[in-house]
Amino acid sequence: MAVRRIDLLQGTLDLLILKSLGTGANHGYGIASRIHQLSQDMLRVEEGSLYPALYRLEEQGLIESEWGPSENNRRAKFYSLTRKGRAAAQKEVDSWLRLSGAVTRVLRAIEQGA
Amino acid sequence: MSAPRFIRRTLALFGWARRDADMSEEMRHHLALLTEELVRAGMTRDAAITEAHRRFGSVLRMKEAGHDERRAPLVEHLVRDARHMARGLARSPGFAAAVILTLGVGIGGNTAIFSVVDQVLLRPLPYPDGDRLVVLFERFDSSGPSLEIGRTAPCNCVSPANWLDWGRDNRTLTGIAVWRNAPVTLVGVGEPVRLNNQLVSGEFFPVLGVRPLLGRTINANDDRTKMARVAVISHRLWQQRFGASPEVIGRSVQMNGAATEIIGVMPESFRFLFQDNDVWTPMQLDRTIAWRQTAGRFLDTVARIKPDRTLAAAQADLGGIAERLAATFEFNKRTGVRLVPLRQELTGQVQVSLLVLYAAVGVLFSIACVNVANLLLVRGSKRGREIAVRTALGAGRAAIVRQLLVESLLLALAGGGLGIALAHWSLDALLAFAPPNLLRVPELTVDTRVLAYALGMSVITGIVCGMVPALTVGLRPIAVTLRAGGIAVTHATRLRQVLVVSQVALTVILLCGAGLLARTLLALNSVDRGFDKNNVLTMELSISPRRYDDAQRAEFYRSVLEQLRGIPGVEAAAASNSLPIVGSPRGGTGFHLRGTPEVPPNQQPVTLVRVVTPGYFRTLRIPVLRGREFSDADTASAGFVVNDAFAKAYFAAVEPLGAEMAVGMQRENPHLRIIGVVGDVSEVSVRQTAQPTVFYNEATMAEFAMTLMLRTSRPDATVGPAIAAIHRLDPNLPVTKVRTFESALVESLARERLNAVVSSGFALSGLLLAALGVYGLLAYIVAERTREIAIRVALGAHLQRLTRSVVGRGLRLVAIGAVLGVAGSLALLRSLRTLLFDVTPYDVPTYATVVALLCAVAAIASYVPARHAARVEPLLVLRDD
Repeated sequence: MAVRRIDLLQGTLDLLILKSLGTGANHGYGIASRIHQLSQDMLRVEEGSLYPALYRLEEQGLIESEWGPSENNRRAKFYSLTRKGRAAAQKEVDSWLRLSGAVTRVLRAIEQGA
Repeated sequence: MSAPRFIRRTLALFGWARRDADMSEEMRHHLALLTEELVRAGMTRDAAITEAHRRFGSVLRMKEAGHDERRAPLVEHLVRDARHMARGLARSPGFAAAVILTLGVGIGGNTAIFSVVDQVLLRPLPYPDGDRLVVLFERFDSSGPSLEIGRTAPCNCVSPANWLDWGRDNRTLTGIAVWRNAPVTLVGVGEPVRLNNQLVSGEFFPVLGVRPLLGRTINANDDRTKMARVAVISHRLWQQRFGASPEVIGRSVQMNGAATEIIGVMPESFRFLFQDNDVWTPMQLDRTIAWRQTAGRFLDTVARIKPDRTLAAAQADLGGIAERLAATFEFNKRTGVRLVPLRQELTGQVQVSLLVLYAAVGVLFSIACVNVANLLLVRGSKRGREIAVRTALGAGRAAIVRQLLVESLLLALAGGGLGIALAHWSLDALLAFAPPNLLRVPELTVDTRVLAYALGMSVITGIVCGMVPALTVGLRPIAVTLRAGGIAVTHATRLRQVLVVSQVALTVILLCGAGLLARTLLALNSVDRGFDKNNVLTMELSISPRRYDDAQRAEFYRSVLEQLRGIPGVEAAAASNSLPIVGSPRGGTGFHLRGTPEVPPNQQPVTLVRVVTPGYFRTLRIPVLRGREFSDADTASAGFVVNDAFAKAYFAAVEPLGAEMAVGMQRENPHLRIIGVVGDVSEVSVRQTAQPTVFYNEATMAEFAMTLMLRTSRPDATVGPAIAAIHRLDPNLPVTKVRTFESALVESLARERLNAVVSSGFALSGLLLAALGVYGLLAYIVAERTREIAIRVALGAHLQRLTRSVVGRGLRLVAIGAVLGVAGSLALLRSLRTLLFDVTPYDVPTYATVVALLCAVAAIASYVPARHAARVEPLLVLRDD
C-alpha cells in the first residue's frame, strides 16, 4: 500500500498531539504510532517535528512529562495533558472543526457549481 | 500557576545538562521502539537500526551520536564541535580570513612587544641573585655641579678615594667593584682589531657572581699594580678569533701593544651593561695614592647588597658614610651617594619607551578584539535562524553557546598562530632596527614563555570575543528569531554601534600618541645643530700609548690629517676626541678665570672640554663668531677656543677674547688666553641645548683615541682611500666606526625612531581596523535596510539624500568616538611627556590632524556602503520578496 504523505498544516500537529493524549499519558513513540494508526496510515509524524512540538507544548504548560516504565520495561518519558492542555485541546478541536467544516462547505459548493 | 517565563528560562539555562541527558534517553527509547517495529515488519536488525537512524534526521542523529553525556568526556564534545565549526568556517573563508588576519595583527604586535618587554624588563638579570646588584653614583646637591650629564654612557663619576672609603666602611654590601670602558687593540690574532674592553677591579667578578666557562676570572692579585697583564675574554671573541679552542687559556696575545695572558673565557650569556664588550682586564688601580689630591672622579661602580639587607638599608648606610666623608674632606663637600638598582641602570633608557609601546599595542589589540567581536556578531545574527531551529530541535542552549565559543576559540588560535609568525618576523626587524646597546639584550626570540603568552592571549581573546555573540544569540527568544526571518535587528546593531564608537575612540588615542612621538622625531631631526652634518665622513682611531709618546701622538694625527686632506674630493679634515651630539659626554671639568678668587677644585665652575685639531670648526662648518680657530702654527701656549654659551655664561659684560683661564685637565694647568668664540653645538644630545664648552688644541693635549672628520663631496668614495692613507702610516692601526655624520645622528635617535615608527605602525593598523569596523557596520545596516531603501527609492526618495543619510550615520558614530578619543588622549597622553621633545602632550595640530585623518578615512569607509544603498534597484529588490 502506497502511503501518501500529507504535510501537516502549521499548528495541526500540536492539535493532534493534544488530542491523542486525551485518552491517557503516552511516550513520544506511542504518540507518533497512535496518530499514524488513527489516520489509517495517512499521517506520519516526523520525529524531527514531534519532539520539538512536545517540548514546545511542555513549555507552554499544555502538557507535562514524567518518567516511568514503558510496556517493554524500559524507562520512557510519558507525556500527559495538563488541565490547561485539556481545555486548550477542546478549544482547538472546536475551532478546527469549525474551520474544516467551513472549508469543506466552500469546496463542496464550488464542486457543485462547477 | 506556572512560574514567570523568564524565571523558567533562567532555570532552564542551569538545568541544561540534566535536560540534555533526559532528551538523549528519550531519543534512545524512541529509536529502540522504532527498531523493534521495523524488525517485526521483517527487516534485519542491522537494517532496522540504520533505517531508524535515517528517519530520525541529521540534527537529531548528531545528538544521538554524542548520546551518553554522562560517559562522553568534555574533550570529545569539543573535538566534535571544533570539527563542525571548522567545516562551517571553511564554508565562509572571507569571514574566517578577516577574523584571523585581524587577530593575527593584534596578537602578533602584542607578542612581539611582550617578548621585548619580557626579555628587557622582566627576565632575571644574567647574574645569580641579580636583583641585589646596584650601581653607586656620587651625587651632588643642587648647588654643586651635576655629573650625570645625559646618562647614555658610563658616567665616570666616582672618585677612587670615595670608592675605597665606601668599600672599607659599609656594613650592607658584600663588595663594591669599579670598572670603566677602555677599548683595546688586539694584534696578532687575525687582522688587528679594536675591541671593547672593560677595565675592572678585583672585586668585579666576585660581586657579579658569574663563573667562567673556561679558566678563571680576574682576582684581587691580578688587580695589584704592576702585576702581569691578564685578560678574560667573551664567548663571542673566543669563538670568532680563537676557534673556540680550550688551548686559549694561558695563551699570550698583544693587547694595546703589551703581552697579555688570556686567563679565562666567560659563558655565552655573560654581559655587563654593554652588549658588545669582548674583553675584561684588571684595572690595577694604585689604592695607596691620595686620590683626592691628584685626580677627579672617573670610575663607574657595581656592588652587591648583602642577602639580609635591603636597598633602603644600603642607601642609608652609604649615605651616612658619604656624609661623614663630606664633613671630613674638602673634596667631598656637598657630595653624597646614590644607589641605583642595576636593572634600572640597564633599562632606564628604554623602559618608558617599551612600556609606552606595550600600552599602545594593548590598545591596538583591543581594537582588533572589538573588530572580531563585531564580525562574530554579524555572523551570529545571520545565523540566528539556524541557531533558533537547532534550539527548537532540542539542542541545549549551553551546547550552542559552547559551539559558538569553540568557533571563536578556533579563530583565535588560528589568529594566534599567525600572530606568532608575525611576531617572529617583526622581532628580527626590530633588532635590526635598534642598535645593540639600546635594548641591551643579545637577541630577541619567541621562546616558550612568549609562546605561552601568545597562546594565553589567544584563548582569552577567543572566549571574550565569543561571549558577545554567544550571549546575544543565546538569549533571544527562539520564536522571535524564527518569525523575524533570521535577522534580529535592533539588539545587535546597537551593541555594534557601541563597539564601533569605542574602536574609533581607541584609534584616536593611538593616533594622537603616535603623532606626538612622530612630531618629536621630526623636531629632533630638524633642530638647528649649529653645524653642517651633510657630507662628513667620520672614523675612529686609537693609537697605542706604547708606540707613541705625547709628542709623537700629536705628530701622528697631524700627518694622518695631512694625508687625508690630499685625497681627491676631501675639502677639509680634522679630529676631535668625540663627535658632537653623538659622542660620549665628559663630566664637568673645573676651571678658573684669571681675576676671580681662587677656590678649591670642587667649588670651581665646570665646563665641558673637547680636544680638537686645527681645522675642526672649518670642517664641521661651525661659525667662528669672534677671534679665530686653532691653526697649525699654534703651539701649546696658543690658548683656548670657547663656545658662545661659555662666553655668554661667564663673559656677559666683558670681552672674552684675551681673557685668561686655567682648565683642570692635566697635572699642570697654566692660565691661557681665549683666542676665539665659536657658535654653539650641543656636545651631549640633540635634546639639550649647548652647554658651556672649552676647546683644547689637540697639540696641547693629544689623546690616544681620536675621531676623524672629513668633509668630502663623495663620502662613500672616500672611505677606501682614507683607510689606505692611514694604513700607510701605521699598518696595524684598526680604523673603526667608519660612518657619515648623518648616519651617526640617525643612530643616536634610534630610541626616538623606535618610538615613532613602531607606534605609528600600531596607530595605522588601528586606523585600518577601525575603518573596517565602520565600513562593516554600515554595510550591514544598508544590507539590512535594502527593502526599506528600495521602497523609499520607489516612492521617489532622492538618491543623494539616501547616500548622505548613510554617510551621516557613519560620521555621527565617528564623531562620538572622536570626541571620546580626544578626551581619552588628553587624560592619558600625559604619560608620554618624558619621551617628547619640543611638543606638548596637548599639541593642537597633532590632535587636529588626527581627527581630520580619521574623518577622511571614516567618510571613505561610509561612502562605499552608501553607494551600494544608492545603487539599489527597487524593482529587483521588491520582486525578490
